Amino acid sequence: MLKGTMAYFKGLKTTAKYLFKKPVTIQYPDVKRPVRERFRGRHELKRFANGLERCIGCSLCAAACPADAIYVVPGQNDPAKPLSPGERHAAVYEINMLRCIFCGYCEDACPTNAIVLEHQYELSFYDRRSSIYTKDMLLVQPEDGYGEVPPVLEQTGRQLNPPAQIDL
Amino acid sequence: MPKTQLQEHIVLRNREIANIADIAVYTQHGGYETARKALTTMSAQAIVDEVKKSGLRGRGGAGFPTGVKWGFVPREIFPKYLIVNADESEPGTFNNHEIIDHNPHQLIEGIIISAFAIGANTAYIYIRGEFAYGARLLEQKIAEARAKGFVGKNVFESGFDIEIYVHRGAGAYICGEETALLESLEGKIGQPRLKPPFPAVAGLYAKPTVVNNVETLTNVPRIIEKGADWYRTFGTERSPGTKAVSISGHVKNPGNYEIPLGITMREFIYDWAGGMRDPNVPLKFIIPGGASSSWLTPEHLDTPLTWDDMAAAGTMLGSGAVVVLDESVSVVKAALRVDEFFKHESCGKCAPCREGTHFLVKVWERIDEGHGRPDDIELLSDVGRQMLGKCFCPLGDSAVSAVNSAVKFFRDEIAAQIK
Amino acid sequence: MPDEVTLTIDGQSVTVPKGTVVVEAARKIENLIPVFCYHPKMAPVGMCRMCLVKVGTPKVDRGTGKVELDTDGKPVIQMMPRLQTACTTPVSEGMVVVTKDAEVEHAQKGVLEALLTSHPLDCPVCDKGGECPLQNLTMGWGPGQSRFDYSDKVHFQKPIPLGDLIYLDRERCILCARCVRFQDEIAGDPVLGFDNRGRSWMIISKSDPAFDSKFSGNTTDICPVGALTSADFRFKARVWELQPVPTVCNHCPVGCNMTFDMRANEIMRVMPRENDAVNEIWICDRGRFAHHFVASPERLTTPLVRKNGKLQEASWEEALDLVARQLDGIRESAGGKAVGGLAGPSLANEDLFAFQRFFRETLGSPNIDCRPGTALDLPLDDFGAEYGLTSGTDLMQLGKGTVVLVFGADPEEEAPVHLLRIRNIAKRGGTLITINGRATKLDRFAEHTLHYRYGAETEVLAAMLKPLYDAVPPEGKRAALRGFGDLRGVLANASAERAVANAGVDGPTLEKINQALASATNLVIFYGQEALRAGTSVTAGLANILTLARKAGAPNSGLVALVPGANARGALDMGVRPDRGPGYSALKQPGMAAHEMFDAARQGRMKALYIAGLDPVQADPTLAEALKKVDLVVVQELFLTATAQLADVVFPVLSVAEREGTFTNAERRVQRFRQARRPVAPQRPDWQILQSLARQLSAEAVIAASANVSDKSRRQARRAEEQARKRTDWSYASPAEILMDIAASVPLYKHISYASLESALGVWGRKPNEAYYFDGTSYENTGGLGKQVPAGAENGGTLSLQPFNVRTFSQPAERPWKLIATPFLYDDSTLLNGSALLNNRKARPVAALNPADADSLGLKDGDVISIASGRGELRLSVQRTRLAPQGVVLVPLHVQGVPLVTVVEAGVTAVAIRRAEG
Repeated sequence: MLKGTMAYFKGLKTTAKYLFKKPVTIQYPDVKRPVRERFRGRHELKRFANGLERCIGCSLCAAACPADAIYVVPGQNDPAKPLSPGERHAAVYEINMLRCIFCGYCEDACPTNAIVLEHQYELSFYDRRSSIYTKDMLLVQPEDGYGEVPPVLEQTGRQLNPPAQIDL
Repeated sequence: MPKTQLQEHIVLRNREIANIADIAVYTQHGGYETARKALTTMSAQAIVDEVKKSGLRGRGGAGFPTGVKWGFVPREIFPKYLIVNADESEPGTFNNHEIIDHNPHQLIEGIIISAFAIGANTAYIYIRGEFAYGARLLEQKIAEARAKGFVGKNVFESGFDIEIYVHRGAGAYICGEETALLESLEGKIGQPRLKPPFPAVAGLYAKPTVVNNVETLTNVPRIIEKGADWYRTFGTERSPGTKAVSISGHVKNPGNYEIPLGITMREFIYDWAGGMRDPNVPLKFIIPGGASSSWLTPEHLDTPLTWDDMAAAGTMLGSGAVVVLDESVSVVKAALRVDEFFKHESCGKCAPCREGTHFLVKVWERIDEGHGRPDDIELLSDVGRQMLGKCFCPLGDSAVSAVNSAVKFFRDEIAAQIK
Repeated sequence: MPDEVTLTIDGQSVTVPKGTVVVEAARKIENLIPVFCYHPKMAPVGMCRMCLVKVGTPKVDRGTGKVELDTDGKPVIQMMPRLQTACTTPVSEGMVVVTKDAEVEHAQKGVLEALLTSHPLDCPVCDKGGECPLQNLTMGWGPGQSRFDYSDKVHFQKPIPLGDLIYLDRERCILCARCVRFQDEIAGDPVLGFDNRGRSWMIISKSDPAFDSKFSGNTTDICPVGALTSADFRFKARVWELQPVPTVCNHCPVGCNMTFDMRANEIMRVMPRENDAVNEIWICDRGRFAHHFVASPERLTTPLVRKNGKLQEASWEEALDLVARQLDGIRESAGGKAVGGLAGPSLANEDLFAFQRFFRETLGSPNIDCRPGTALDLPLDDFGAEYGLTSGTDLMQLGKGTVVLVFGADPEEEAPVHLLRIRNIAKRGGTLITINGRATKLDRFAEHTLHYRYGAETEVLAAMLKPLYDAVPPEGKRAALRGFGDLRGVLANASAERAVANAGVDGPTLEKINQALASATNLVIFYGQEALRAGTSVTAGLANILTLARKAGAPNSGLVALVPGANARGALDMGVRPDRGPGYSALKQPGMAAHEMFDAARQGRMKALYIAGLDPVQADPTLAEALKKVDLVVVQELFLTATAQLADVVFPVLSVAEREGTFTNAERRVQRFRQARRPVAPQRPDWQILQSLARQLSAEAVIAASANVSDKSRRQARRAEEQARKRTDWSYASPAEILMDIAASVPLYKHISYASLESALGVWGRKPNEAYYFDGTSYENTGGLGKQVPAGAENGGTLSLQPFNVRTFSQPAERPWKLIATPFLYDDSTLLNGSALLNNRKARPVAALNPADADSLGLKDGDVISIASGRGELRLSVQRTRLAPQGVVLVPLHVQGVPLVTVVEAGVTAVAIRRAEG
């Protein structure tokens, strides 16, 4: 009987011990756990500093994707109002997040560093249809653009060029 | 050694006879009599044999025996064409220019005799586009000859018809190459053709065609007039005759000289052309046969000016254009200048020449501007090797001769400029 | 053998015909020598220098003229001082070729590095990426790294339109001249050329309108880089995402093998599929660019039924039920003969067979035709089948000894790829003869050309027949030719002089043509719409030439009739015609031809008309009146055509891309096309619609048969019921089963089945590594080569000469001009719907007049004239062109705004021309 009571207190002691410690639980979603720099979360389509889309609709990400999660339909840029540098842009760009295995091969394949797996990991859907992220959802806002026009290509008199790994 | 004397001028007769361009003066000195003799008394074969016997070699650059070339023409295919290559574009060459401007009737007479010898009733003079005066002059001289019955139907009452047309080029160096010349003459873009078939078999409009240089044909009337044996008293055994050579660069008296073949380069530069411009600045190198030839240095000064001796020295007599350069010249700048010329003149038909010349120029440029890289000499040589013998026509090879010469003789100077 | 040469390539010995170049010899042993400018279909030029190899030949002793031998007794090989281009070096006996060693590799690396110095690094955006020979060769032979500064690359403005259809990207161009050479050597339209020189060398179009060629799309295929791209496929998709589905072109009677390259259920592009017996590796621009009708939003999607005078959407059940009930009623009340059926020559064999079965068996109507029933209808052509090109003939193999006669045809407009093939026969040493009323492009390649006066075709033919007729030896042979005696009288007065006088042809040329015909080893005769329109005497004359030259049924010889429509030959084979059944079988009672049906309709005798794949009202708007008098008009169509708008019921059908079936081309090769696209609307294939109707109607027939018990004995009734059932057995599950039925009932198609059409084996195949030559050029044929059905004359037996008459056309004085309807490739066919790229190339509604004639009438370009025949009048603006012969006005066929039917008459139409007032 006594032995049983002791065990009861023993348990309470452990509770008491943690009562004044900082809790390990994070109050998600109010508080979010930071992720590692190289964490592979939801994709983003980046822009250049001048606001043009980096994605040129080359479909190499789709070719590299082991899960066949990416669908790209390319289009031709209007020279007067181009969406991306060069002649080609992505008219449709969709990623099926249910299919995606977040391997990052698309990042590796991208010749313009347009697609980046960012740190957003909150991906839940009420239905399968909404698991498809379209280009509007993936593309960052113009003010979030980054990267500059490499000087080499500026010399050649061409405008709107991405890094020098591709001629557009 | 005393300067060799030339008994008489064979092609630059205008140096001896004033106003020989005038048909009256020319006929006074026996002009067109040889043609009359050839057409009325000799057989075509006899003329070919006489030219063969004379050992006359093509003056355009390759030095191919003219009589042998004529012998390749099939007898039974008609019509045949004689083309006069007057597209003198090699940098440093200007001897044809003098013949055309000052001794045109001898050229026209040569054309008549040669056309008769190969059986061609039509001759085209493909003249460099820039020679506007020469082209007009030739047309005028042909009209004069025609008025006298030397050109046209049944010339000299021999039953032989000969029409001579002057066709002006559009300013492409490559059109001096015989197949490119034919393409251009046919109205196509001036680019070399695939050989075989060779022009002698299927040339202009796929008919047998002989393409001869202006100077070659200008030799012909004198050979027929005075005989092969007389002709062979000039020059050497394997390079008989004289050659009009243009000398330019850092010499006292640049210009055209008709020399007996076989004199040494030293004699030519120092005795004929008066030596270096500034005796205190020594000779650095010689471009002996136009921009496409390999260079010679002072150690080669005793090379005789013949086709075979020049070939033995690793270069060529070419079209006879000696450019003499003294120590004031930068090798890199000179090579850059030569390769820029070939880049500009590359027709673009084959990749190694089109891109290779551009590549060479880019490398020379950066060395010249002081941005040379340590392995640039190796790079130049390797690009040269990738072009040499791999291009469609000899133009690509020509661009490499400057590179190879510069690297061979002046490696240290280039290396010093890179550092 | 003296014509063969044995050489050694990389230690492997190979024997090839004399004159072969080293690259081809190496291909034979699957030794891949990399090339850019070389193409197996074109003459070598040796420009790109990629194929440099070491070549040596046995050393020959100058004194003895014998090959020197070394101590082992092997010939001493003397290597050439320089590397040679393998594409231009012809093989020679004992030659030794080294394709892989340090020196060759050094050269190959050098050439690739050179090419890449001015080639942009833009493979991710380049349409050629993924099927690009430059990519392939760089991976296989190129240097790992370039020593050329990236920043020194050239950049040009891009893209430069070479024409409406083709764009040029100068940066990517490696200047191999394949496109220029294709246009010069193969297409025969030398419209491309080069401008400038050196690194500024560039491709330009020299024609106006730019890149004026019907074969321009092929240049994008043979371009070894992405320099030439088609306007249709620019940035549409990556090539590795495409799924090529084998198909057959449905635009003209050539029947080119193609693929629909599909992605996400849409046709992204059309590519040729290699078939040496049909189209080699080429297709024309109409085949390549006019696929947009498939995905056109104007396609019919649901059945339409006329309610309250308006066509309204209906369900299939409702529409089918309506048609079945009404047809049954008409059959009951007025009999099957009150029903007529028209089925177009672009439908598949399966549809056409089902169509004629439906009419002849289910409805009991003999009235079917494959023509629209207008004044422009061509006579039905039997000679193309009877005397057709014998089975197994491959035009690509013909050359020396072959005479090709093209009579009254303009293959460039009627069957473009035939132009390439005919030209190639001439290039290989064959004799090409063109005989036409006007100049055509083929004349340029012909050895002999005659231009006759329209209306005097038979005069020329008589002059050609006469010497052949006289040359037939009297004994024996004549008896073997049925109808030999009948010709004697007809040809009695024929002579070259008469032809010269009456047809205005050149006498000496005619003489040469007759000599060529008499000495031909193979004789192939093409005839087209102008010959067909001139009447059966003309086509009979051509058939007689073949027979008298003793080439009827002979190998590699025969007639090729260019009847418009992808399956015109199939329609005739299937018996979609009033006078013959399937396989040209005789009919007890012939039915009405199309124009008779409309006549009957006007008189109210036609109760129902069933029209599939034809648009008679578009061709002749006056037929609308006739249609209005018909109780039931049913139309099966892709689009709501002018005819469909007048129908009571319209059935939407599947296009060639959405179903499978077979076409029979002009050379009588049966070829299969597959389903490439999922239907996006509830359309059905033509045969299925007919089957559904037939089943409903038969059910009623069976019921009717069993209902007649009261009148007849039970036994009789059962027999009638059984017969009705048998006749009405419609249980096809797929087109393949219809083809089995065709094979059973059409003797010519005895050996045709889907399996036999699929075979691509045993003929030839691409070598495994040839992607390096052909990548991006055309697809290897894995979908089947098709099968040529035999011609009637091949059966042996007695050959017949066809009735032939010489007719002279007498021009009425009041109408001194001749009107000739000319076919154009880009006309206003519904199959060009939606293909906006081709709009600029469409034939314009103009009347072409010779400048001399125009001057005599005082007409300038654009002046409006009135062209009046005995039947009616037509107003058109004038185009002055030397292509029109004097005394003739050329008016385009099937072009909107040209109501040709209102004026044309049978044979030659004589017209009066005057400037139109106002």
